[in-house]
Amino acid sequence: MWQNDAVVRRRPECAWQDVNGKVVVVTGATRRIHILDGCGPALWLRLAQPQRVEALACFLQETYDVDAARAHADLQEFLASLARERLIEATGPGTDR
Amino acid sequence: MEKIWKETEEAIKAACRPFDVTWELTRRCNLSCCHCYNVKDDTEPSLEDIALAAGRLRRAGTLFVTLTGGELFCRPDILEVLRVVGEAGFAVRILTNGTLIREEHIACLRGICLQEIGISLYGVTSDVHDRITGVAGSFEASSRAVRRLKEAGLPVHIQSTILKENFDSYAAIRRLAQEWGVVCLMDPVVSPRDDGSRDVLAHRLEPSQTRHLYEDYFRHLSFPQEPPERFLCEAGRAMGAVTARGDILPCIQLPVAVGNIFRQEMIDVWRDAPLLKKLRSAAKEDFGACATCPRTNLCRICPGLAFLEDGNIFGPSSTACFAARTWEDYLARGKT
Repeated sequence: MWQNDAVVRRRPECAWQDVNGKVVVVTGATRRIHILDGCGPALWLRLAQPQRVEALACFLQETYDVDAARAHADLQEFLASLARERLIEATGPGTDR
Repeated sequence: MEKIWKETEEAIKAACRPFDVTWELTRRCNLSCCHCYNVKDDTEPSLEDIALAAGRLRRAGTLFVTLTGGELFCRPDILEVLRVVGEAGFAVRILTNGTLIREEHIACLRGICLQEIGISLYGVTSDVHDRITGVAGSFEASSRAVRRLKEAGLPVHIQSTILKENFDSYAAIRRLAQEWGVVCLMDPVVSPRDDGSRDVLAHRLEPSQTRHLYEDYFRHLSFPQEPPERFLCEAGRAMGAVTARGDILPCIQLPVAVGNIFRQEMIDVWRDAPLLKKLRSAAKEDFGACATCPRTNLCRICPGLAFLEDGNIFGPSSTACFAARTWEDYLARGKT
């Protein structure tokens, strides 16, 4: 579970490319290929810089016109899957999983 | 996930963007392999050129780059090169003889999105290997590199061109790779040199040796009963190459420049070059005798080899024809 004040960003050793609106991500650590669709590409672009979890949830709420609970739930699931695949890392104070 | 990947893979191919690019970063080399297509000289893009080209490749849609030469690690600025390529966001493969790899290189390789590093090895003794490379001590140095990269947890494999000179060693090379715990990729293909010279072809296997190699090494391959959906590979579609001079090629094997990345945007060249458009629309019927060939489901035609060996990009390739006939004989003898 990511705390609201946790700060996350893309792992710098991930390679990625846009393919017809989806994002294809390749990791160095596991050498697996991942495909992000839906709101994934937009979040991935924002994660180029460290982002507070709370700010990402607000972004989802505003961009996709969903309520706060839904935005937070979807975000938690998304960040959990990215973390599991070693595509993101936590930085800065207040980080927790 | 499999369905999503299949759709994405189809989208990549349909988009005709250079998703996977072989990138030649020097023509210098510290070895003198008897069979090599590379004509050594000092041609080498500057770090600024590499950064420029990296940006253009990114905008064109490239994700995978295979860095090669010459010998990549001949570049004194290779650490800076790897940093630039890594920071540009590419998934990197490297082809190298490994003889010049040092600890600082290994540390740098850990920090990029490294997918594979292939080390050329041509024998299991210095007698055989060094005779092919023309440099004493190269077997020890390349072997050391394989073992060190494996110890460091990096994705190393061996690649070996099988020639007349090392045909008797190919099984031993495979066993050595197994002993080291690495994959071994073998290939009997020798291309004419980049300057058109065909003297290197004298090192090719005899037809009987090639047949033996195919039947032994490729025995595990299965071939579809129907011809593939598309006759040609991804050259000029999802696959391309950039030379040390910045020339943009449909593929590293097909040395016909369609533009230059230091003078043009890659995305514009890839979209508009007439040769690339022709490659994308080409079907079996455009390849002369291939139109009526009954072996197309066994054929792995390479338009690059067809051009280099037989003088016609859009024609049969004697190498592919020989391989397809060999497989047809093999299958007919019931050894599937």
